[in-house]
Amino acid sequence: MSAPVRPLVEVRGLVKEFEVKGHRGSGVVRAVTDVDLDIMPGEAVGLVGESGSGKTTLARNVLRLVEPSAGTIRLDGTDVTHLKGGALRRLRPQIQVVFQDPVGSLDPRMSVFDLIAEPMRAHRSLSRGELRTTVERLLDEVGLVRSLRDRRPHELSGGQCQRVAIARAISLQPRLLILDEPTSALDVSVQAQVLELLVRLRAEHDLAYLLISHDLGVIRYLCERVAVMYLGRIVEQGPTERIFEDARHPYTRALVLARPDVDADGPPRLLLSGEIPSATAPPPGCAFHPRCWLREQLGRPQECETSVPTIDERAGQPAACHFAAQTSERFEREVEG
Amino acid sequence: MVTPPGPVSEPVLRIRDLRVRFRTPGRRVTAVSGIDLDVGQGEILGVVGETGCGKTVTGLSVLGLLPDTAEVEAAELRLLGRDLTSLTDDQWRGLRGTDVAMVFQNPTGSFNPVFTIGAQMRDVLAAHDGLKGRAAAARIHEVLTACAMPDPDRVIGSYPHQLSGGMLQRAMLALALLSRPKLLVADEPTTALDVTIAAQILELILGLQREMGFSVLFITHDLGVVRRVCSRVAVLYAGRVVETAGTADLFRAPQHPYTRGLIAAVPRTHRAAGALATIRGSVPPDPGAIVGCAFRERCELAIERCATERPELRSLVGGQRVACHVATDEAGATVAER
Repeated sequence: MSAPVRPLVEVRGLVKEFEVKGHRGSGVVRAVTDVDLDIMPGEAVGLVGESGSGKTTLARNVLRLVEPSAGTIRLDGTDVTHLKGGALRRLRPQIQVVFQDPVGSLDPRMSVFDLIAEPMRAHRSLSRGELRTTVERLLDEVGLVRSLRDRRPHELSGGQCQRVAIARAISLQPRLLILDEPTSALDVSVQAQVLELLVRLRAEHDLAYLLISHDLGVIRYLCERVAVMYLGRIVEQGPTERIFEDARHPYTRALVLARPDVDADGPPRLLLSGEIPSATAPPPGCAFHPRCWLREQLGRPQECETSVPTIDERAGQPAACHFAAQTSERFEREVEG
Repeated sequence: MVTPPGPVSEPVLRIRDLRVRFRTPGRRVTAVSGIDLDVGQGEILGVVGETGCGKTVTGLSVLGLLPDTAEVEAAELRLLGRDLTSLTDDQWRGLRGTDVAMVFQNPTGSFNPVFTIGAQMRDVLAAHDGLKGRAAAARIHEVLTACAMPDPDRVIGSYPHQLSGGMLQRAMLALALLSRPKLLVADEPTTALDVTIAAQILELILGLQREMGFSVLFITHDLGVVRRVCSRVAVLYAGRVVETAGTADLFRAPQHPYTRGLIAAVPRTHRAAGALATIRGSVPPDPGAIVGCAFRERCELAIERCATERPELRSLVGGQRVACHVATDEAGATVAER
């Protein structure tokens, strides 16, 4: 496997703006700014960030549920940024999605059988017999007993509904599955079952995942690479292990430590102050600067407020921070002090 | 026998055999089927469990906030020694806010959207403490500042929709603490918040508790949160307590198979991902109809006795209590060996 593999999804310079009309006049909000992101075939990429950071908007662009304002999205090398009509329809089977709310995202009037068969009825021409065998195979694959085929969503548990949603999503044999908080509405014990299912399906179908989750444990469990978003930009991306153990962006450092540890006592090693600013009025320069512990430690250097940092590995900037090269060393000082 | 790590003096909250059922058209559904809990002076008791285990219903019953469709029975339900089982609506109103207050998961839905935060706080002070005018303003400012609210004056004049989720949760905490309650019931207070904000609110609650000394009934499904803030924990399953222990003991040596499964099922953030343990099946829909142990269908250690006889909570050496036929013997040995 030494030949370079072409990315399955290649996002370059993606921008998505929304017009907003308020009582103080109208304007434009940038939900996603200058995003570059690659997803390799069969790779699981995690997308993390707080509410309003643009994770879901980015995913909706990749799904082509919305059209990007600028930049390009390529699938298997083909530009799909502005596809419309029939061409867009032919793209759909390749990228499927599972949403957070397992019950609400399924039509309450449809049976489990029809819910799973619906995408195939829309995109494939199968005989009744073929359809039945495929649905039964999908039920087996996601761990649902076949006798559930005539039930409706309200008769199922949350975990079962999410399995139906997953069966639906893989029914067209997509290359990429977008998972938007797929287990957030589930209890821990049921979540573990669904995560196990997702691990198995990926291996069996050579599926790529773009996983959005606020639960970093879920990301760490499922993904080999992670992209961190803050106020519309990807501020850092890299292998999961580096993101969790040696992050170079001061925000990532704080984010991965924020959640209380099930295996250890004591306060978080780093506690961020302040809140994520509104996308309607982003701070100048680095959007993270008002909350940044590294900037404080460095005596508030001017650059943080005047210029927007970008990721530039070759220039020694593995994260979108002017002082990324110092993060690891400075972090030790921060948590000791 | 070693002194249990439980409360020593008269508990702030004492619950014995609490049972709650809901009348729905055609049938009754059991939400809580016999819970015992004590919350000691200055203690943070964590109540953990999954959806439908009865944790919120337990919390609401302490404030008399259950809907009319609920049938509440208890052998004992005492707050600061006072019997709560037969209070009138007026008596409840006198108690809420002053002796016991609550913080909810969803701060946005818990404020009246058409009044400013300040107006809602003034109402509470006027009703509970008879404080008005400058004295009230001073107290409001003081509490908001204690809750680390940036720019309290602006917040006082703001409407709920003008504040972020994190700010609103601080405001709700301030509102709850206005009249210096002895017991705070916090129901998933950080679940709806972003992680970095949730961390701030958790540290804030801990700090305020240490400073003011109130007790907390902390309801959550998040075991990391339990470990960080609670001194003692009660694990609920299907409307009953299946294990209680000091927090350190619970995480060092969980005894109930459900507790063990729950801890093992959490995807770890702070260390490399290992295998994730799963608990098969899901929570039974109506715990009232169950004979024997409610967990047995999901339990890998279940024996015949579990199907016929419901395990009662029993004390182990060291003060941990567990409701399990199987774990007790095995655990008794491990605890004694320590």
